[in-house]
Amino acid sequence: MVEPATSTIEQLSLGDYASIIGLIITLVGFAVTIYNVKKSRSSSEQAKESVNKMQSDLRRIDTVTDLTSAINLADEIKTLQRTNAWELVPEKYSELRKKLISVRESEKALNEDHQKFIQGSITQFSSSEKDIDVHLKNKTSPDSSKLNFLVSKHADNLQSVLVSLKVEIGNNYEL
Amino acid sequence: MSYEKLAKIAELLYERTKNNNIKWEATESHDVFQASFSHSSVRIEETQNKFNRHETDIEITVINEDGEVVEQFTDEDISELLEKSYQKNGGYTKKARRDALGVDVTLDEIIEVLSSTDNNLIDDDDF
Repeated sequence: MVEPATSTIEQLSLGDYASIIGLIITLVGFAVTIYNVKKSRSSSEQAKESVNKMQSDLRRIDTVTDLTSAINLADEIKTLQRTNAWELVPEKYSELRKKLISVRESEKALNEDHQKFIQGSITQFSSSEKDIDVHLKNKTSPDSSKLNFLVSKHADNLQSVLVSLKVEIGNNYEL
Repeated sequence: MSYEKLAKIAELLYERTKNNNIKWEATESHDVFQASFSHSSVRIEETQNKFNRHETDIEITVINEDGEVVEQFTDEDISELLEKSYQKNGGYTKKARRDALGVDVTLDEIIEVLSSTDNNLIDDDDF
C-alpha cells in the first residue's frame, strides 16, 4: 500500500513542489519577521522621539515661565523708576539680568535674532544698573523717562521672543 | 591687551556700519550706541581726547555675555595699526546714531507719505 503511494508521489514530483512551497512559506515568514522587527524598531524610535519632544517642550514651558517673570520684573522696574524709588532699582536690574542669562542658557533652541535680543537686553540692563548706582553715589537723579523708554523697548523685544517660544510649544506633535 | 584684535574689531565694525550690516541701538546716554551679537555686545561713544581737548576720540567698549565690560579702547590706542582710524570711526559714529534713532527709516516713511499725499492733492484739485 505504501509503494503505490510513493510511486505516485515520485511520478507527480510532489516532493519538489513541497520543497518549493516550503521555501516560499519560509521566505514569506522571514519577510513577515523582518517587517515586524522593523515595525517594532520604528515604534520604539517614535516613542523615543516623542519623549525627547516632550522633554524639549517641558524645558520650553520653564523658559516661557522665566521669560514671563522677566517681563513682569521689567514692568515693576518701570513703576519704581516712575515713582523715583531709585534705591530699589539696581537690585531689580541685577535680578532681571540674571533671569535673562538663565533663559539664554536653558533654551538652546533660541534662534540668532532671539539671542541678540536677549544679549542686547542683558547689556542694557547691566549698564542701566551701573548708571543708577553712579547717580545714587553722586546723589543726583537719573533720567527716568529715558530709562523707562529703554526698559519698554527691550521688554517689547523679549515679548516677541516669548510669543515665538509659546507658538513652538506642542508644535512638534502630529495629530 | 591684544591691539591687533581690537584694531580688527574696529575695522569690521566700521565696514559693517558702512554696509548697513549691523543694528545699532540707543542707550541710556544720548551719545552712546550699542550693537549686540549672540553672546557679546559693543558700545561706541565719542569722547574728548586725553591730550587735546579740542579733539574727539572714539571709544569702543566690548561687553561679554553677562553684560560685563571686558575691554575698552579708543581709536588713539590703535592708531598705529589702523590707518586713519579716527576718520573711519568718526564717520561711523554718525551713521550709528542715524541707525539707532531710525533716522533713515523715518525720513523714508515721511517722503513716501508726503509723495502719496502730494499725488492725492493734485488729483483732488479742480485745476
